[in-house]
Amino acid sequence: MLDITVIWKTLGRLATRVPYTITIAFVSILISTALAILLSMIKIKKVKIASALVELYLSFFRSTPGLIHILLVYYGLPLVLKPFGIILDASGKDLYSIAALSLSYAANLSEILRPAYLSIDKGQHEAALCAGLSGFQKEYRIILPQVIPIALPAMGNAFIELIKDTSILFVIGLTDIMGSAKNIITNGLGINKVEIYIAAGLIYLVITTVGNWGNHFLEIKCQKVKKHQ
Amino acid sequence: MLEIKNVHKAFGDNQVLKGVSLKVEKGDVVAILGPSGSGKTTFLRSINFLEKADKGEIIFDDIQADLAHATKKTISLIRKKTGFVFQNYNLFNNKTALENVTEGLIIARKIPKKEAIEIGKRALDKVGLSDRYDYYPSQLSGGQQQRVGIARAIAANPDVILFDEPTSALDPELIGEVLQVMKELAKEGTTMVVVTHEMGFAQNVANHVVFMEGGIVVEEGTPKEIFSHPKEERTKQFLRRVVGYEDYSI
Ligand SMILES: Nc1ncnc2c1ncn2[C@@H]1O[C@H](COP(=O)(O)OP(=O)(O)OP(=O)(O)O)[C@@H](O)[C@H]1O
Ligand SMILES: [Mg+2]
Repeated sequence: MLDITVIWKTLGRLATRVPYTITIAFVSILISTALAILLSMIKIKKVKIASALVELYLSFFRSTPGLIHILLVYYGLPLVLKPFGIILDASGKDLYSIAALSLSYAANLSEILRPAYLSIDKGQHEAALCAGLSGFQKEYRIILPQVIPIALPAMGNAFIELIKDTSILFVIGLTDIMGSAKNIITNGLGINKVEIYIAAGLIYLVITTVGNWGNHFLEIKCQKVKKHQ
Repeated sequence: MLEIKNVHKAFGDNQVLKGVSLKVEKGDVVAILGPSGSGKTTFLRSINFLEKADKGEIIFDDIQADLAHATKKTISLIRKKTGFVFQNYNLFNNKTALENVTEGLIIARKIPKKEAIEIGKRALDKVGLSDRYDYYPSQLSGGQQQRVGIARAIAANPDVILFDEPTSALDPELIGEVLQVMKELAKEGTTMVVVTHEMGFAQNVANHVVFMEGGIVVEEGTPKEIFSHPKEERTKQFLRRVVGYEDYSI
């Protein structure tokens, strides 16, 4: 039989790790979005050598599991940075986590952003230039306001995926929700495993439900804006 | 006022323009005719740098520039002296009719918003859309969208307006309203260069007709010269084909 009180107590303990987990997810969302914009721009503008590198980057990150990204960043990043005189130790687990999630999700997000951008017909770009707008004014005033409502709902879904994916960061010892559930199990010498995982699951359920709910509203808002496009 | 000299343009090994020149005086209405694929659109687009010519020169009032190597500043100057009306209207879908017209005024030309709105409304009134200021392109018919396109092009009072087949994407019953607006503009002395398949417009509204084929200007002259006394065999053939003209050689 399940011990409901264990679930209840674990819920309380895991809830204290929610802010930490959300912070890591949030910072990763910001960095991955910025990176995705950069990657998309390089590909859209067909920047010579850079776009070939971006292509390589995208195909690697999009066709390998997130777990690999995390392990590669955790064990690989210090090796990569060492020749530059930057010595990383294993303690900044949150930084490795953010780096891995950002790199991984930048690839996903750029594959949402780029098609959304390219869905705006060439004619509107030309009309904007003919109206005398500069390249930047064209993007900022005409193109991006149409791209954003197209891309945002899909990006929202990706952000929710990212939050769920924080649950594999325990492999490098991050004490997020999942990591701390693991710790509780270890400290309890392995009893009540099911109750503890149920509690962790419930926490993720609440977070993603709130996220989906927010995304749904976003979608309605975007739909309203998009109605004219 | 505007002179374009010896424009060459190739797409890959497809030589589309092989030395096209055109002279436009203030108040001229120039109609460019020619079969599909003859390079009319490409020529028109190279005038305001939507297409970068491989070779050619533009003299526009006091600006003189190489079409193949113009600076950003020159391009911007020439674009501000030019209006462009597209075959597919190309309205900004996220903006209302009025915003479509005022966008370039406010953002590119730095006209104060209030004044720009006045100008924009006047331009829309002129094309018969005084009751459509706040409509989005998706809420307008093709003919109305194209009239917004024209209002957008004329609002800043450019020296010349380039039209690329402004009626060929329209349903037949909507062509008239757009041609009517263009006729009015011509009457007011607006300088226009119009690529068109509307022979009636070329014959009755234009004062200069250019016939292009195979990337060159085959023949040009007054509407009368071109439609009634074409000299070149290719012009005659074209006219016979598009208008079924039999009596041009009178
Ligand atoms: N961006 C492009 N890339 C490659 N080829 C092009 C491009 N634009 C035009 N062409 C080619 O250039 C030639 C001339 O095209 P253009 O559009 O100037 O002709 P047109 O006289 O305007 O024809 P139409 O009456 O059909 O509009 C065509 O063979 C076309 O396929
Ligand atoms: Mg054309």
